[in-house]
Amino acid sequence: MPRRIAIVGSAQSKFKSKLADQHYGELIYKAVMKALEDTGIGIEDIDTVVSASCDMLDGRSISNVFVAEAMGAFLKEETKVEEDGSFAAVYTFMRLLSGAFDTAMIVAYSKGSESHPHFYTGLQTDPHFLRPLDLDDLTVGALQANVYMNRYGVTGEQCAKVAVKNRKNGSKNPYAVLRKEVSLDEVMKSPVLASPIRELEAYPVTDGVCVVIMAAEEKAKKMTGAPAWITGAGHIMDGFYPGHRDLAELKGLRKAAGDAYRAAGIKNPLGQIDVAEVSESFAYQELMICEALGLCGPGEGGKLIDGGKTEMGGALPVNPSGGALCANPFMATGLVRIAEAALQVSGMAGERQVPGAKTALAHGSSGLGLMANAVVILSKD
Amino acid sequence: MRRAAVVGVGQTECKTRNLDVTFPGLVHLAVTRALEDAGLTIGDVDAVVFGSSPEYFEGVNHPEFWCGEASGGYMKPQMRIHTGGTVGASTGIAAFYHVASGMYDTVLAVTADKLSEGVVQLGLSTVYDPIFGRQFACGAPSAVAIQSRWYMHKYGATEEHSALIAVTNRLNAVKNPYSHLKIPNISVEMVMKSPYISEPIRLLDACPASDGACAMVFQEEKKAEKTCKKPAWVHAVSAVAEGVGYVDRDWAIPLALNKAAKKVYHEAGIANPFKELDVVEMYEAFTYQEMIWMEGMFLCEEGTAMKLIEKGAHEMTGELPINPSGGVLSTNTIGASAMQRQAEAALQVMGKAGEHQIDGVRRGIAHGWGGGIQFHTLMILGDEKP
Repeated sequence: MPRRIAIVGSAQSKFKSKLADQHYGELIYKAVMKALEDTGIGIEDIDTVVSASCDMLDGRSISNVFVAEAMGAFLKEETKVEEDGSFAAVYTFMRLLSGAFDTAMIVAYSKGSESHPHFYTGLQTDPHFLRPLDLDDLTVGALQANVYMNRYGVTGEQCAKVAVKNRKNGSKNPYAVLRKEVSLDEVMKSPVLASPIRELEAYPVTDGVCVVIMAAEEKAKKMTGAPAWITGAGHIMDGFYPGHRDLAELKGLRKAAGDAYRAAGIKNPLGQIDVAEVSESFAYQELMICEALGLCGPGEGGKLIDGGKTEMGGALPVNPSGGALCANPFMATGLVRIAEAALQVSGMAGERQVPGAKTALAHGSSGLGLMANAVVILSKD
Repeated sequence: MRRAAVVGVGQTECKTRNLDVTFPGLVHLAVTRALEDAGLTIGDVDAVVFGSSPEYFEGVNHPEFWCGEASGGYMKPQMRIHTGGTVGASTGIAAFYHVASGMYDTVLAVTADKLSEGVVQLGLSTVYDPIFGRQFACGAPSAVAIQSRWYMHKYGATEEHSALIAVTNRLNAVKNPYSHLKIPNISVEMVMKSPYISEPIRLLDACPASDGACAMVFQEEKKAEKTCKKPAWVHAVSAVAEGVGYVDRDWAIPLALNKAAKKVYHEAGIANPFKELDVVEMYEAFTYQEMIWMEGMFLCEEGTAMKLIEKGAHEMTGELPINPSGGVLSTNTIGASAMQRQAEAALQVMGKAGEHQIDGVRRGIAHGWGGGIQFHTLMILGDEKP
């Protein structure tokens, strides 16, 4: 790579299912100010601002129009990626790599409470073939879960264990929406939303903002003593129609991870990565994501969680933050993963810190049934 | 910075209603033509950048997924850029940075909208703040009417100046096979007799709503030289934001454009843009904006653009032709509009603009605006390596 880029700071809202007392402009402004203050810099130190948001979530066209000022983008080089925030981070990484900018701020946000997941995700279907089926992320997720579980014999309990693990982790994350531990029995007895997905295996509607600050080497070293270097990144989009895809395999994610691993020199992900933060909207997805990331073989996600490798204290803890099952601010979820992964390699993750984490992986996703995926590798060195 | 160039351009014919093709179909047509123009196949493409404007226009959220196979982004890196009216340019700029980063060598950028499938001004009215703005939300024409009136009041521009701009753009459009609105017998009188849609903007001062798509292929230096005998090298890019609703805002002085212009001229080593640029493709959805943007990008002093218009400096045979393609005034897909500016500037530099080619273009500039008239983009393209 032509130059080294690091994450030097971040901020998250204290996510809630409904932040009715704050306009999203306010939420953005507060998170931006916190990120700048914590990094010890001013807005004048930021060369470019890249945001991620969605018109249909905000209920208004060109969602960045009225929040450019709150983001500190007034008379700055600015742009918007209308994908999950992890894609905005990958694009920002490219802008810095090019040498055109030395510092950048990425802002991703949504107020899920002012929309409805069914509309936001359901309207992603095309008007001719899928829309009449009234699909959304939950129903496509349920179809995917069934294909996956049936093909490999992954059980409902194994999926439920992801929820138990992540909710336990989330209880220690001050930014998570859901901070109460749940037992396997509680998950298995929770109502079915769309078979086989149960209520406690699904994400909470979430309001909030995530901000990440990136800088090129020279400035990064001045801004922080613990930069999280970006050593690899990749993003791939799979096919649109769920029926055209092999739903049990995240082929696109496998390729995106391959690109990121190649750049970062990772040949044995389970051995070389210390911690992963992934975007699992539903419990079963974490198992599929782990497989596609090469943490285990195809169909072995169930065994992976049974063996405890992905728990805190395991060989490769997945989602110490509690993941998307504890807070899922659409558009910001993947950026939160990146922020959390950066905190891990910087040794600043507080109670959810994985001791000695040197290399971290962050994953973000857009589209129904994990259609488009981004992977970022962060390293202490 | 790593050098990048435009090696292929593809446009669809634009019209009010493209009934025989779906939205992904439009995207596919532009992509196919851009690849053919470059002499490449989709297998040569390392990454795709997709752009379209508010998803309320087509009623499909994240349309880049629906169009994912059509754009050629299937199993490739693809992301969608969406910055309102500037989206076409922001997408081209993103493709440039994809190449400049060193991560990808060949990047396809594609933008489109099928405005006939929605109610455009309703979609644009939802730009307005739901609490403070929706009561008087008035789409784009009325917002630009305020801007136009402001400019006229401040500098004394008249409706005749606006009509001259309409005539020039509309005559140019007749020569562009992809442009939407073609009025070969256009005259100042005809413009002045057309009804107001929002004073001072008359029907013929305004853009149409079009269905259409545009695609461009960007490549790194070595590959670009192999692919294309005369690529259009990217000399400088900029995309600057401003605020929208603040109290002291002067609508006749586009601060974001000022800032973007200073940056690109500095990077391209241009001291006198009016003299050193050979062609301008600018995004004027309404006639008056041509004068405001001319001043905003320092082609002339503040308040003097009308003199250049009176002289005909902006005409095909003038000192600095503006919009030989017919501009946004003749074709406005919104999603692709700002990319069409880049594509047309590239075609001029490559000498492939056909009937509307300006002789001897060495350097051209492409402009876009969007949002609450607060986002501005610029790209300078040239026939020599930067």
